[in-house]
Amino acid sequence: MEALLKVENLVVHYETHNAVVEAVNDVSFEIMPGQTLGLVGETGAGKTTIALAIMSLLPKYTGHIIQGGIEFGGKDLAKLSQREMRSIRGRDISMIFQDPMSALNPVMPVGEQIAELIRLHQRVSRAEAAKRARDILKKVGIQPDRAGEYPHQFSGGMKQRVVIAMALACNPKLLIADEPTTALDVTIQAQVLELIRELKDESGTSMLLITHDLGVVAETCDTVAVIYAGEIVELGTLEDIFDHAAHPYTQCLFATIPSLDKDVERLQPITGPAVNAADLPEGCSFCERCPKALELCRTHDPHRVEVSSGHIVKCVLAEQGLLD
Amino acid sequence: MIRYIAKRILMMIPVLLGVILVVFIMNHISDGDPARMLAGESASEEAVEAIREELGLNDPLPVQFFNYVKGIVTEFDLGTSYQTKRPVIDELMDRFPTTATLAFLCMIISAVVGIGLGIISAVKQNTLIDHLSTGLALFGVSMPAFWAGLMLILLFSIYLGWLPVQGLDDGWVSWVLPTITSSMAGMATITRMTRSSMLEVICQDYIVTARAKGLNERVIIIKHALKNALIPIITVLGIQLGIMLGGAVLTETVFSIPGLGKYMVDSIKNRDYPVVQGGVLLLALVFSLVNLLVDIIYAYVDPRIKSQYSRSRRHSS
Repeated sequence: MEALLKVENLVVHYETHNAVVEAVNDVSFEIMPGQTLGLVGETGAGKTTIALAIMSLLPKYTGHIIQGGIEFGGKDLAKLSQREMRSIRGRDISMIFQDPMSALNPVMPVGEQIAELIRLHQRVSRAEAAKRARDILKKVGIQPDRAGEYPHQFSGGMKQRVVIAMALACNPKLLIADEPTTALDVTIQAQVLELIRELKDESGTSMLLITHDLGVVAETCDTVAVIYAGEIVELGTLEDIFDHAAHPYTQCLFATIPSLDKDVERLQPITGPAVNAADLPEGCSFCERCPKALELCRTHDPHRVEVSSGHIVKCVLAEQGLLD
Repeated sequence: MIRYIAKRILMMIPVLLGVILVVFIMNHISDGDPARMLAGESASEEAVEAIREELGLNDPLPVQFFNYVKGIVTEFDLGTSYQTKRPVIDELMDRFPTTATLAFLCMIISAVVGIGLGIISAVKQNTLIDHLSTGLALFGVSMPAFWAGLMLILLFSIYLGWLPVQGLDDGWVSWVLPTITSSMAGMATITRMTRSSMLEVICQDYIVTARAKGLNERVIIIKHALKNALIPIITVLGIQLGIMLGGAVLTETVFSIPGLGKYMVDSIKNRDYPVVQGGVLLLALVFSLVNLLVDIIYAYVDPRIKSQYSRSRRHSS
């Protein structure tokens, strides 16, 4: 089967007056039609930058795709003009943002914000677009007669439902969900996640789910990419990552979450600060914090090693065959 | 909403009473004797005393104040001008339309040009066009109206001969230079305000959402960003309009326009108390109305403010 989205050797830099931030370094992954890829990593790892690069929404003056390809439906998105991208954004690829509080225009009724998108991509009459907007609001669990209300009249969870309705209004092929549940409280998180999954399965949409929450990944994803300092350090199926985590960073991530079957006194934090993307080390970027680091790790930047079919690890230990 | 407006109009009454009181007191503690000024330097003390009696200047201050307010409330009587012996209200109304016309012309010009330039500079931030328009704005604020007016007259009326030098007797062309002169400062302020407000809005998440929808940049700027950036711009526009309606003293003087501003200054010089009081009162009324208008417009621009208005109504009733 042909991949829907194929990101190859993507490198993104932010250039400011006094520094070059190497936000994304040589990232490659694919998403199959109907599948969900989870992009996991801590704050500042470059997850959102990857999403913005795919959408071609990097900050105009500072964000640059230095190299690499983003193949989607036979086109390289990295090479398309903004005009061509506009017909893809919202129709073929849409995005759910992290903070529903600020993602909606405060001075426009929610129904109109959805209808605007429908009218833009589907060439229907104003009345028809408004009707479809009401239908999709109903689908995400909001009473259609609230279409005329403004964002401030909705709660956070409801706003995120509106954002989801907007993202799915044109039945996109790919949905990018950037921490869709992070800003919501725990009870609402589960509902919203369930809603996304339901609607996505219904329409056969693929999803790139960005999160730092491994619980969310376990419930939603087919494949997982663990990202650290702008690099994918481990990539594999859900089973590969959860049952056979190979990279020390992935293992550390699992040690930070509480577990029901193990009686742990204290959770294990990952020590030390995250690496500064404006000043990446010569060797492996995780070596300063890595409990298993060798002397070699300081100077040698490891290659990607396929430890089993489709399970890729970028670690010196894997290169040397020293993984446990 | 209607109850909110009614409440605001009622609240204007104490404001206006306060204004009358302050102006009344200030007029009476300031130096100079209007009766003496009316009668002339050479008039006898008896004649001056007669005038004083006739104008009611010998009554105790509270009585004078009460009579004045009573006149306003019962028959819109703002008193009689010491200088011309005509009712103050007629004198003011002779001049107010001219001032109002100039004010609205300036408002329109400075809003259209200022908002336009502001949007362009914000969208093209840090480019040549941005530097040009912010430079122009700085130039506009820094130039005093009397100097700018004179320079414009020199260029367009004297050297080029395209426009009349002064007065308003030549139809619409005579409005061109006064309008430009008076709107320059406002235009500049609005340009800067629009630019900074737009820059703030453009960085908001919902603008990224709008881009992610695939909307083109023009729709994003006009439909999504501008409406969100309007509140501070409307505030500045309201203040400008209020000030302009009080009369553009410098512009009116430079172009010899018979407007409210120049008339007020002349009346102060002549110690024409009733005119000064009436003028200030008119100004306060106009300013309050413009303020109310601004608040009503807020509600239509931003639904969050509108819901605040109705909430405050629930609390108060």
